[in-house]
Amino acid sequence: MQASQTKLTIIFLAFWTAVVGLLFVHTSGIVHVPLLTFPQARGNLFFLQEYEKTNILGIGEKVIAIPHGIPFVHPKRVKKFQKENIFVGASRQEAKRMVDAGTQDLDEVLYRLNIEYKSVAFLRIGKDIYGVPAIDQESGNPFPIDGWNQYDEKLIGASVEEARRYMDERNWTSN
Amino acid sequence: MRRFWWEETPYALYAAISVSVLLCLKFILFDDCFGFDTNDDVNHTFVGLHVAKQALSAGELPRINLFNNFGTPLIGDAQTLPFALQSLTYWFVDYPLAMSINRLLIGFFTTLALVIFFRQFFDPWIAILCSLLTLFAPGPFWTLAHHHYQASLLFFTLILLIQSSQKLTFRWRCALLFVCYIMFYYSVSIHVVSISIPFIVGYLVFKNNWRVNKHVLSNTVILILAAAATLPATYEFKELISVSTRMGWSPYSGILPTIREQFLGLLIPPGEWMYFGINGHFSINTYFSIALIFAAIAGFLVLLSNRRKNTGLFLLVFMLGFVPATLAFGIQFNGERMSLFNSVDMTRVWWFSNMFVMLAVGSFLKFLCDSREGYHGRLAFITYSVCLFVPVMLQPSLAPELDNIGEWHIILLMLPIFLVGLWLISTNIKSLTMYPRVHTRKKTFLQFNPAFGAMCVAFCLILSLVPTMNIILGASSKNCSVPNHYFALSNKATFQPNHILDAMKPYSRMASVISPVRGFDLKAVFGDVLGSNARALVANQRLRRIFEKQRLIQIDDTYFFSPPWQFDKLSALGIRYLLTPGPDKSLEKNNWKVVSQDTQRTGLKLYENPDQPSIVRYKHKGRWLNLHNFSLRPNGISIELPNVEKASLLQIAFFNREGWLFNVDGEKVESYSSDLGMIEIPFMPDNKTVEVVYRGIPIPLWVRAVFYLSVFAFVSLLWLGPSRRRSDAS
Repeated sequence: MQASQTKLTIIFLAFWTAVVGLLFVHTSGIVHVPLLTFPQARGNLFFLQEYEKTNILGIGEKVIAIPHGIPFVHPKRVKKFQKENIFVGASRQEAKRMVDAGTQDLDEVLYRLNIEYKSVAFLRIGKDIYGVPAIDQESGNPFPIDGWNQYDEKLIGASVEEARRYMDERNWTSN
Repeated sequence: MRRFWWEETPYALYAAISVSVLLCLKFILFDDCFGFDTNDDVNHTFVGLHVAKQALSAGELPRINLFNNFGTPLIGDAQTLPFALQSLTYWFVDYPLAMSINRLLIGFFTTLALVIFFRQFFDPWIAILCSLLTLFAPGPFWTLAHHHYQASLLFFTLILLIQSSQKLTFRWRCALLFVCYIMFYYSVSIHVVSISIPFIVGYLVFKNNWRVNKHVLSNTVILILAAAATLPATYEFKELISVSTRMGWSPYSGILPTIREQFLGLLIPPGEWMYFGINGHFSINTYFSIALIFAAIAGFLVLLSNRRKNTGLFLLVFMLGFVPATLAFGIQFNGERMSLFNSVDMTRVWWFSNMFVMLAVGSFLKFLCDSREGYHGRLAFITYSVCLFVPVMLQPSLAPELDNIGEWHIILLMLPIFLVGLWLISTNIKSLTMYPRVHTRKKTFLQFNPAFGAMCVAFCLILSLVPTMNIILGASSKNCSVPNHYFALSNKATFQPNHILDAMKPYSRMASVISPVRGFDLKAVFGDVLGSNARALVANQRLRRIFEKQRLIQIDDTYFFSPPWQFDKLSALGIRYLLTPGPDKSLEKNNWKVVSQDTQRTGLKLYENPDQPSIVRYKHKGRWLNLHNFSLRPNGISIELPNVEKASLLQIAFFNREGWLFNVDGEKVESYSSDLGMIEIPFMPDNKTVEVVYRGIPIPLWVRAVFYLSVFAFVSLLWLGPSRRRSDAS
């Protein structure tokens, strides 16, 4: 074997060994290597219903209304969504309102309040507080709640405190 | 042709050992952690081999697993492979350890074989790189975990090496090839073997530039003889799979719905950006990486421009690499309308085409390294680096779905351009335009440049393997307690919790009201308890239809027994125990008692049938009575008949499939099927014993004739082969 080949082989094997060593060190927990964290997309696509020649689907925190005949479009492709008239709402009912109005830009839309209580996320339209099953970060899917369909909004109060009391009184629990 | 020199052996061995060590990552790091998968390995391989060992120990062929789904054939079950080379380990050590050892050994020998293969074409370090890229491609790497796939690359590579060996005599080559083909067939799933055949047949033809010489002819003859010698097993498999629940099941198409997602899945692992609940091998299966794809394309272009000088290599890359890889891509994602392909995973074609695509990668690196191509090599490397960098710049506008991918991908794509930048800083820009610079004797940095570019690309390609390794080995979980595809704690190989299995009487039947993927019914064999749910490649369609029509089952990953309960039918099937995920009021109302439970962790409850049915019963005065005088043997059951006053009917809770042989007092008799598909045998008062044995699918005479002829032809070929003729002449 020529000397140059030996050198190249040794350099290459040294690099390979370093990669293997890095994996060992990361897996053992001795050193956490942030670069070796590969985020995994979470959440399944749920078919909720068909409405006015539109398929209403839930994915993560979003409910999307896709007109019939449009193939799958990844939810992160916002421009494509606009081009294909695909609407994105925060609940099944909101998606249907968008379909009725023929536009995503409704006068009033649900805004997330970044409050979760008893597996329910709080949203606001005007002065009213609505609840929607919150997303389980582990699975990326809504928490299953007895008597409350995934992606359905419910009016739960005129204020956050009232909404919390409503939740307490109804004893909503997830499975 | 380059040859593998012995002074290179330490480097090849080092690479092979490092692969083995990597495959034992968590086995080394964590206590009680072994290398096995809690799904296919535990539910099928360990279970099937356990039954196979019992049969072989009793001097019988392992034909059926009586403990699975009312009797499931073993030889046709491509996940058991009782005669596989790697099955030997299970005779000596516990199953989790056996699987760990198999992965280590197969990884080691596969790497060595691949290095020898690629060394025919490239320098040692490029050969090692190509071997690593081939072995750690997501498909082969994922399936190295599985008993029925793990030896596929090893045998495939050995076959190619033996085929093309110039050192072996005709007789040795034929004998070794024949043995390798037979071992390949019995050690690897038949589907994978069949996919490899076009590559095996085409290898020498294309390598020899379309010339069909005596090597090609003799290799093809040996292949045909080996196929003929395995025809009985192939016939049996074909008969079983044609009536299995697996036919028409199409889990592999439509995973990535449009061509856009399919293409992006080649560049970044789908699990990082795609929804639809992608899990399992679909999350990584299609990932090649931009670095690898561009290197392969660049290599192909290099070979295309030099095709007249090295036609054989070009043909190998094109005809056995790019063409099948592209076809498989198209069929995999868009072939659900093609009934021949819609129940198979066509990405398995890539396991073999990858070897030849890596020849293109190696050619690119060789081109970069070649000092005679200094200027062009540098230009090629800079172009490659820019090509890798451009997607990084364009991603936000062209592929917003890739927003949240791991930073590792970005870094590896930017690495070459970063190194180019360093290179430009450290050397004179003017020197890049000087061509050729071949006569200087002075050692300058520039003399190392050809290899520098190649080494950068090589580093990039190795780094592109890291996402695959990380996901498949489960590196980021940093423990073994969350079982992943490659590693699990030893107790996951057994029926858990153990005390529930201990509560069941041996040779009684149970059914779990839980998806079969959890494997309770399969793992019950370790307590000599017969399971009822279906989970096997050859689970029978007719039996499923019977149960479905009787509304006994729920279809889910084949099927499992579920409420509403029909207690008479459960007793008719001999089901004495039901394992439920929680309390079942309907069972409790009907006097089924909880005989064991696990309230602490799983909530499982084991209910016992108040009738305490046996798997054997007979009709007496209009009523069914349990019979306990029986013994299960490998492949069958022996029953001592009770004393009856008149003709009676015996019922055995095994599915009355084709292949059973029924004997009453040593004489062959006919059987019948109950409404639920179980075996029924009439008997008379003076009959004493019944023997029921599963002999497998009857093999037609012509198949057996082909088998014997092929063996005879092979022996004749060896005996009368050219070596002997030459020695006779002398």
